[in-house]
Amino acid sequence: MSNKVYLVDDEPDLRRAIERLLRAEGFKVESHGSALEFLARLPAEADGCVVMDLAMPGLDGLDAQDRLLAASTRWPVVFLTGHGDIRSSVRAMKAGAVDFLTKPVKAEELIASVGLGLARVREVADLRARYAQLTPREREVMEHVIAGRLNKVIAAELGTTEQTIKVHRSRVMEKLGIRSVAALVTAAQRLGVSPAGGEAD
Amino acid sequence: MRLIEVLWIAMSVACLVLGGIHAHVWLRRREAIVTRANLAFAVLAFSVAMMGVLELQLFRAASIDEFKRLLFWYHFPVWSGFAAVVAFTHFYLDAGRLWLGLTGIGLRTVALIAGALTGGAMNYQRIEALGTVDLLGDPVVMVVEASPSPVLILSQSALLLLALFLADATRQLWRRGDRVRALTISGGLLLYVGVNSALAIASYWGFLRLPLIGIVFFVPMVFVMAAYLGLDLLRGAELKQDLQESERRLSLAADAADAGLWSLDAVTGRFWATPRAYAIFDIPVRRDVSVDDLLAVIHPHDRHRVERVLQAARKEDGVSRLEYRIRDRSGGIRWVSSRGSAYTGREAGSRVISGVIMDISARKQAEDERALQRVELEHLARVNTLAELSGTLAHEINQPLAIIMSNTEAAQRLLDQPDPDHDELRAILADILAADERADAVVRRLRAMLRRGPVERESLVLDATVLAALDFLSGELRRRGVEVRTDLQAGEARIWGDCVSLDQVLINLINNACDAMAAQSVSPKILTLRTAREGRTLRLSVCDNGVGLQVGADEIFAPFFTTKPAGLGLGLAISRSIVLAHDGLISARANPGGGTILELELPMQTVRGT
Repeated sequence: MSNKVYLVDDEPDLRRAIERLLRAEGFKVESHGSALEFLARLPAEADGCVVMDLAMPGLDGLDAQDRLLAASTRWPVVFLTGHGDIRSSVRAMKAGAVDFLTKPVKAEELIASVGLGLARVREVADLRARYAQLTPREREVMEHVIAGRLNKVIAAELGTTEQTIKVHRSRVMEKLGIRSVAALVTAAQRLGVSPAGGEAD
Repeated sequence: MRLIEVLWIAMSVACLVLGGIHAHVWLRRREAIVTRANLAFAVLAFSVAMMGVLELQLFRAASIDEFKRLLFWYHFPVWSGFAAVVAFTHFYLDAGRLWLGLTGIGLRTVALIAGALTGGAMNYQRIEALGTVDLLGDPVVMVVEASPSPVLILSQSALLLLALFLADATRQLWRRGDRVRALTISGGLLLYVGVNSALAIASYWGFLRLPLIGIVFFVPMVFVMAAYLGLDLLRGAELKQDLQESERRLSLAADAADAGLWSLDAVTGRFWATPRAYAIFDIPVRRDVSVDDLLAVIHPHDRHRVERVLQAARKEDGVSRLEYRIRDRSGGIRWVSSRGSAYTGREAGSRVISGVIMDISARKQAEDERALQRVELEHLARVNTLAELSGTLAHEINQPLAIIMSNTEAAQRLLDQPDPDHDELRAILADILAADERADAVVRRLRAMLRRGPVERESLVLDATVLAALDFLSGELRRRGVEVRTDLQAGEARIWGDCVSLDQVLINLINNACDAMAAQSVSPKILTLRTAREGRTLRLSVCDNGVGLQVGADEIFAPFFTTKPAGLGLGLAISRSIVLAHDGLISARANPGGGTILELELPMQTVRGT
């Protein structure tokens, strides 16, 4: 059960205050004074929620978010800002931020957002565990399914029967605990699984 | 009446009249040194007149006894004439060694006393016989047989000294280039004394038969002297006229300039002033205005200052300039500017203080209004600066609030735990306090900058002022991604200035530098602040690596010049007026590495509190 928070803020006094608050709530907190420092020590797997100041010298919060997106896994990010404008908040939310909070932040809001972020982390971890149970063939089929191909097309591509593909496909859905193709696409995105041979025409 | 009587009486009367005129001149202006010459002349003329009267009587003496009696009296005017010649030469010609003349007078006095005491006939031991001699067809009495007295040696020596004194005076005048007077007056006197002495000696020793006719030799001299003195009087009158004319011109000029003229004799207390000066001082027109009367109308706050200047004016010459307030009879206060000069007056021991006074209330009022406008404008610029910085300022206050809030909520959660960590709680409270103080400092500074008030000067450490301004703007600088470099070398050097105004200048310059760097995407944006001490000057420079000067280096200081869309164009103009008010200079130049350097030069404060 992950409860780790990566706190990134250039102002030490505020960083310390929020760190205390999160610790008192039972989170494990790792603090960084700048986005660059955080990115340099970024774990391979997203194992916690990022709480980040928007305006920082060097690399600002939004640019850091872009770099996080470029990393293999998706990090949940909660932004803190002193004077947030609409443009930055829209950009942050579009890029998948969990929340966009203005300082001074109420403890409850911050904790709720961090909880939301951590839930996502847990979902991804869960999904990853389920994905690990898929056979190579099943993964292959999944990549074709999320590319939007019909069973018939996939069967032809893989040199097997349509029936076999149907079985693989229901196994994938079952193992990942997913009912619809749409959910499968989202899950694939979270897992970082890309569709086979590009999108379907 | 015989010709001789007519002549002698005429000469005596002429001398009396001339003497009377100059005695009058002396009497009227007794205190002036120059009129002593008039007195000397008057004494000489009266003496000569007296000699003429006595000579006339001597011509008609019936007996040796009568002759002796008259001769006794005759020697008094001769003595006073002698003394008058010395005095005139000294006072009028300002020539001759005085000790020679004074010794001559002394010797003559001794001769007079000796002659009187010996009971004889002055220069004669004994007069044996009187005879008559023909003078202008008239027989006149004279000594024909007598034995000379030793007293004669004394009086002849006195004459010799007088001759020496006059010769010395003539030589001096000749050398001074005053040749006309040298020849006519002192040369003439010398000639008279020489001829008279020669004749007297000759007749005494019997070589020449001449009656006593001293007046004949004296009168031409008296006339020459009278002519010179008369010319002087005439010139004096002309000068007076010139003076009056120049005074009129001066008054006209003074009136045109709306200035009052006044003069005061510090010793005699005599006061003179033009009507305008009376009006400015607002004192009733009268002649006996004293220094105290003048001081009384001066505003109590300025009185001491004026008094000090007057005190100095009593002692030494000089020109002074003062600006002070006058409280007029209606209770109003007016500013006046006064320029005075002090000098020794024409009369001995007098001390004249004279001056020009102008009502400068209007100018002062305009100055006050300008100062007020400047204060208003500076305030407006500060408000504008703060408006530009509002985002940063909100952050500066928001940040401590955020710190306080999160810490407080953390503390509340800690307290809910079964065994709260007291050290952590203490640390939290310390952080809350620090944040609170930070917010308080920001608010305080804001209040100072928003306050509209007169300049309050204090002693400021330049480097500390620079650091404080950077601290105030730290949030803004961070937000704009500006890297700050400082090279502060002024140490503890201080300036005497207004903290708020200088902050305003610094904030303005730093802000401009940031704007210049924001205008193009320079990376990294480097702001460099340097201070240095050069002799008694402190130098402060604000350098950026931004777009650089777009126009002339002086143009940027012009009011309403701006490159920013929302700018008022007052920032640098006001910065310059603030720096000038601190006796400093501000200049702009291109940064060799790109960008601009704004440089301030401020005078270092040497003595505390000056």
